[in-house]
Amino acid sequence: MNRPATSSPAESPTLADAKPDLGAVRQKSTWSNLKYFARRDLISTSAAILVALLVLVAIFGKWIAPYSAGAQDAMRLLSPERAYPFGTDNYGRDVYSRVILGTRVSLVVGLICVPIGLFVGGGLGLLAGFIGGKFDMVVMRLMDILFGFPSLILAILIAAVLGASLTNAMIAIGIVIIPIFARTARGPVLSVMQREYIESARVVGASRPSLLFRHILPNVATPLIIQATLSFSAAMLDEAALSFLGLGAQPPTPSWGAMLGDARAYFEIAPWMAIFPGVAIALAVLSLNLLGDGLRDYFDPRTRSRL
Amino acid sequence: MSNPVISRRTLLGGSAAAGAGLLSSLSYTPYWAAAQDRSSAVFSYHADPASLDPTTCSGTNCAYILNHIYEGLTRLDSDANVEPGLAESWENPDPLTWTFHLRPGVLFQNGAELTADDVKYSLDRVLDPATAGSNLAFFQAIESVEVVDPLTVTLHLSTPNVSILASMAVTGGSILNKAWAEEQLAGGAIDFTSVANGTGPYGLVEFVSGDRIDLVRHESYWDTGTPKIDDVTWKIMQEMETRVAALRARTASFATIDATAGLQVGSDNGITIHSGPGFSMPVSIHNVRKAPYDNPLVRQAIAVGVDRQAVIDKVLNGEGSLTGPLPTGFGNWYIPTDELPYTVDKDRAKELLAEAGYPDGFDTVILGLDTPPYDQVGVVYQAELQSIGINAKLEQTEFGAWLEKIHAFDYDTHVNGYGSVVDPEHVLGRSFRCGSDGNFPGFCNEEYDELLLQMQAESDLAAREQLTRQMQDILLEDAPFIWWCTAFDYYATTDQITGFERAIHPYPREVFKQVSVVEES
Repeated sequence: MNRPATSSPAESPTLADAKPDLGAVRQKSTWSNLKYFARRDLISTSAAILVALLVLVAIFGKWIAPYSAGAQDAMRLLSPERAYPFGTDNYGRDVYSRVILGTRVSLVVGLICVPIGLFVGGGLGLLAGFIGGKFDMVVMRLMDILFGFPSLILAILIAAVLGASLTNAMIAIGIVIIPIFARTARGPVLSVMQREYIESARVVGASRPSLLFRHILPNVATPLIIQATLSFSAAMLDEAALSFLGLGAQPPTPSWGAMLGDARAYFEIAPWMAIFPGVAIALAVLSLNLLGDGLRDYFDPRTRSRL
Repeated sequence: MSNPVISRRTLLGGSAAAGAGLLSSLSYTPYWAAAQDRSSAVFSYHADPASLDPTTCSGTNCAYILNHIYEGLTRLDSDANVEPGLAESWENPDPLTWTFHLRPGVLFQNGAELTADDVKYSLDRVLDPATAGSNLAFFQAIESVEVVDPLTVTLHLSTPNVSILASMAVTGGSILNKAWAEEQLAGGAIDFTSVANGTGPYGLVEFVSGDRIDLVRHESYWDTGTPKIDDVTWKIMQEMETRVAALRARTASFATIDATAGLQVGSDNGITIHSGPGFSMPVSIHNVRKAPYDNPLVRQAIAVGVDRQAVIDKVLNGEGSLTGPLPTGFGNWYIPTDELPYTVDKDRAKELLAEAGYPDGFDTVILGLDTPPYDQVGVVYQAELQSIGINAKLEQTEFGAWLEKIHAFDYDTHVNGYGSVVDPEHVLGRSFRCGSDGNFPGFCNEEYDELLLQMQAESDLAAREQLTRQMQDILLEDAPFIWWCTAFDYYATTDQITGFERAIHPYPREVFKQVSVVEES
């Protein structure tokens, strides 16, 4: 991952404090950098490996899964056995194949929702902090309103209005995560705007776009990237919740949340229908969160020194 | 309510807790059930009735509750034969005249006595186009209603129609009190969400939409000895899991459940599952106005290509039977399962599709419902279409949006269900007659309509059965529907109540009439 923030000539005081250390790390090769990271933070590293595995499964799932997601060929409600390691569901579909194929659905949700939040929310926050005044107030009050709703309730509302489909669920989740990005972007912008180097840039006649994109954006990119990792797992979890409620992926799309929803009625007679997608959701969300935490610790100079 | 009281007593036991139990039970007791010796029960039902207007009530959700409050001139016995209801007897001097003699001394829940004026008022209300009565098709043969004397009413028909007798038993033909209705109308429209006044075994206390309906025993009900429980709370619990949990916690003593829940609670202590062949049928309906479903070859390809047994096995846990257009087990009207032309032949289906000009299949959207069992039927249907090369996408929506699309004919093929049938004509006429309001597929066949007219007028049972069979054969051949199967129906009762008997019955019944509460020892 790039760390353009550290290449800036001037830093906020906290970043400046840690500068010598950051510089030292940067001089090493990427590989030794990684090794350093791995040694110092085992948990984040295992999380990163798990995330990499998830990505691989998502990409190659079609070839890994023994059956297609919709194939209803097996006996129904079979408990886990050699041919069906995770058992079969009420239609006689292989739960193992569906969990594997569901990985892609979950990751795609993250890959689509997070950019919506990042670009719309991050952009609004950036502009709000940069322009200030009435624009800032209007935008941030709007964000406060969005923030005021519990995110899942808001997502349910939007998905219900748009109609139940995976696309609409993704739009809903994208909208729901906008305010967090706006806030994450605006704070650092306000603090960076006070720095001398911005003032100097102004004095030498830097245009407003150049000020924004060349001098300010690089300094707020790191928190946004970390927020993106954390929102990625939140988006996956929200999708699972919406699909569980029937507002997300439509059958027979193998969404983990929808699989959990279907399993409810069979929980007592076929618990495997719920356990495996449940474990998949937990693992994916946990590993993304841990990775996000690790990245934050790595990039944040205050905790960096402890690594 | 006594149910929380029962569980609390069991829980606390001992006289020391009795004081506290009494106090808290008082705070939970509605004003109308203040007396402690009243019996009560909670019926957990899966859906809210859209309204409590019997005339416009559509579907089983309101029929179930309204059949406890309102009654019609006739009703159905447990073998689905017409028996006297509010009319004690009737005559049919000629094919166009039906004279009903009302039961004397029948009182409405507000104390008014039933007269022929009430019958005329109610049937006129059904026939008034402004009412938009949901079962209008069943009554359309009525030309006029004549009050002969306070206890005699004569129906004059425009065309002979022997099913009129059975029509009087459906919820749409319920008798309202004329004076009461006119009084209510003085305030504008009748607000059927808050008032009800019928002759049935229970009166309405309160309807809280989405939550519950409180019913109280009609003390001067004409059928003496019934009902047996004083207070019934009709508790709406949409989720199956909630209803099962309520049964187990004994906060509900009666619930509608499904095949899967039946498997889960089957072995539980003190809960009895009442199940058996019912009359509800999951179906798929093609839009025959629209390509490619306007092509009979396509419909026939689907009919021969889908495996109906898959729905029985995968959705109903094997508890259902193959069926023709009329539910299997319905009188002598249905086609016996061994005579149904259902040999699954995927290759033949593909051949027919190729012949129709779709050698590579086609893309289509299934309009599905998100409530069980129709959500699961949709999933199986989708896989079955895929198996003959039709690339089907499933779109499941909630009931309101689904209904809107169906009424606008905005679908390719959709998942639906029927089963509330008291006379074969109600299904065969309403759903398939050219231009009928309930004709969702847009089916139109002259020969069929000709047979329908004969069948409506035919009073000889054997000849009527013969005509019914001919009509069903046309439908099977033309295949505007996939009739998946006739499902079992399921009720669960706890050991708190006794006397419930699941009748093999094609229409929702006043299930609580014979049920009583088990006395605590």
